[in-house]
Amino acid sequence: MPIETWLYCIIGFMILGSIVALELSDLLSAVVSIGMVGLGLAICFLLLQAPDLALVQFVIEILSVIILIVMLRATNQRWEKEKEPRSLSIVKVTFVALAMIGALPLFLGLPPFGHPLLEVSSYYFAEGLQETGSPNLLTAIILDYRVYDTLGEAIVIFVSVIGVMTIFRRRKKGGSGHGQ
Amino acid sequence: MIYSMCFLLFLVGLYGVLTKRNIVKIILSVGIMGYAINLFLILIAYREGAGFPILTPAEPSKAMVDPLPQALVLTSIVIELSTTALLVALAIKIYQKYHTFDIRKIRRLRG
Repeated sequence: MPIETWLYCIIGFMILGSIVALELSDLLSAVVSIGMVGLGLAICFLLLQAPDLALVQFVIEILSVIILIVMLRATNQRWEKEKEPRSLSIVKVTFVALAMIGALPLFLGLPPFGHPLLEVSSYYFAEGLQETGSPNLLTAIILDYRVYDTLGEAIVIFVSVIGVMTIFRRRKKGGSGHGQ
Repeated sequence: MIYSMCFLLFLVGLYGVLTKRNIVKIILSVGIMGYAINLFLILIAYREGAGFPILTPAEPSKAMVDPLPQALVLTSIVIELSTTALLVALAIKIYQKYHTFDIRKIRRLRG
């Protein structure tokens, strides 16, 4: 089978998994469905010749599922009780469908799948090994050519860790410890 | 068209953000939108018949897919995890204060 057929199958599976996750009223099952969607994304990366991304996505997906399950455990809420009235959600679904129809011409204007326009990286192919000494061009880019991006990523992670610590530190001081 | 299926995945996430009233569902929807964006960038970078961007001694001049979007998406994936962690921390804090995940009941500002 060509790669495109596989991708159609897996993206269809991901869309189905997302809808199931959003419509289930059991929050734990919803989190597990999201984990399956993320693993499907890892398989897509593998098919699209990005093995490094597939590995990272695999690990990150497991971590985020663990974080979400920890949240459900800490709050002890397993069922989604609040539902929106049907008429209101039908209006919103109509708007989303209109956005889909409106965006279709945009995708027809893109180059066909498998023939990208991006030509920036031909320099990396030609010079990457000599300039950085790394046979893996992905690491050559993230750790040499675009190292400031990686620095910014590290800063974002650091800020988010500081944010989480700050959010949880106020609990001891604020006296609202009857949460759990 | 494979790009429009990817956009459909994004719209599923958008639908979740718009219609759901549970904070956990909203966090999941934000995650879905992030998946769709990452997948779209990698789909754009794919070149037909090309291999992964690692130079091997066996075939030094093979066709390779574009490594630049892959590097950017690598950063984006990790940042998504930290976003999820921050959202989860805020959700736990909201639950401890209001004893609910319902966004309509989180209204009053209490010090």
